[in-house]
Amino acid sequence: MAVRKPLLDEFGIIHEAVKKLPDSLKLEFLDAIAELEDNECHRRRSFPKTRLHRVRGVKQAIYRADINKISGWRLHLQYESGNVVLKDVIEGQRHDDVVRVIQTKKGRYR
Amino acid sequence: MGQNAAEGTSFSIDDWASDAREVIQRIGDSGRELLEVHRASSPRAEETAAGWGLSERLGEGQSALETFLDSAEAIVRGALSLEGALRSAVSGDSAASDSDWLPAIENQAGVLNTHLPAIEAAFVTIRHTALDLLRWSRRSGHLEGSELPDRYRACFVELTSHAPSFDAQAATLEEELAFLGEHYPDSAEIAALREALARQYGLRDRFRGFLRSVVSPPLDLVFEETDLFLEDWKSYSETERGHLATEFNDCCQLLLYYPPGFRRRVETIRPPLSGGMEASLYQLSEGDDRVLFLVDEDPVFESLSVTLLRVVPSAALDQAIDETVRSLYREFLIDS
Repeated sequence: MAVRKPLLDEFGIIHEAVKKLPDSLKLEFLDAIAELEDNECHRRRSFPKTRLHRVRGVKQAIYRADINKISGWRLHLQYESGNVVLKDVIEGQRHDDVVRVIQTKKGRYR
Repeated sequence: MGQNAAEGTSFSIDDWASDAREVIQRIGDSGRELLEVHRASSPRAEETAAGWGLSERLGEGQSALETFLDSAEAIVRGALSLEGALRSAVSGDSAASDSDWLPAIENQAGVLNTHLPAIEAAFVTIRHTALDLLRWSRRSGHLEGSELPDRYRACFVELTSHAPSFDAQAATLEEELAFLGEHYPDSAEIAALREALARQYGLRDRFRGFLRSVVSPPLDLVFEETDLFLEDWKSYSETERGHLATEFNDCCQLLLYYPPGFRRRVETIRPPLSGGMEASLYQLSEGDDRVLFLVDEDPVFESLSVTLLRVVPSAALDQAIDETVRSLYREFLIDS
């Protein structure tokens, strides 16, 4: 088994995603989580599925990961003490408004 | 790191200078080996090394290190002789006659004013050469498993471990000058030396910051431009662009080796954001021009990302900031 990157779901994001995501995206969500948990992707800094990248413009290091390339559904996450911490799952039509989404989760982002 | 020159009696300026010259030679040899081995690893490595002029610049860097050491040695020799003159001058409750110490103060101020400009110029070359070589070796000149970059860094560690810190001496000198300054408040010589020393200490702190950034690999500095920035950029002549690009690059290099210098050089723009978020938005002023940019630390990709947003004349700054903030942060603004 590949080396796993610890992924924490302190805010119940997986549960929330299963409730909110369309059925057609649930398998892709699983793929996205698997990529974020794959230490090899972190070592190579290559995330072909989720296209993980940092949100620009704010000092807090928040990252975005696509659930798939076209739907716009995304995950927000942060790195804390070497662990990946899931922070939010964002609906497709809201993904361009990242800052507003972050604003609604006061206290969650560090 | 480094022995304290004031603590022991065994410090020999001749031994120190001789050791430091050997270390400088090793830095040069190690840098050339790193370049030669890594450039042969791929056509891209070779092409980038040629494009960046790394081979010629390593030669310039070596000369700069020698200039740096020559001047540092002159300053240390002057400081040691000043130390002797001042020790007797301030040994009692009142200052000794100024004829005992004034020539030594004048002499050291002269030494500093002669050598500090040379050190500052050399420092720029040393810094750019070392950081660019290491950056190249991480990116286009990367060679899996090579220990040469670490060996190159280790030579700089040697440079610091051979150097006495002189911090305690500097503190004592400050106290002695303060003591003399109280007795001779109008002395232009004391004022001139204190001014030169302030410049020396500033340079010392920058050099230490640079060494830290070489010894502990800094994040990669990655520049990105937005479409709006490129539009603005078109309105500048080639000469203006060259000047602005150099100033901006030098300013951003401070992020790697001397963050306090970066913070002094730029202005922070802090739009009132809610949710405890802080903007990473900055403004650099250069003549009548203003550059707006983001600095985002990215620990996952080990980079420090600099995003160029706008470059405008000062008269258009307020509007540019307003547009930038509204576009970047939208409903994240408080009371907007």
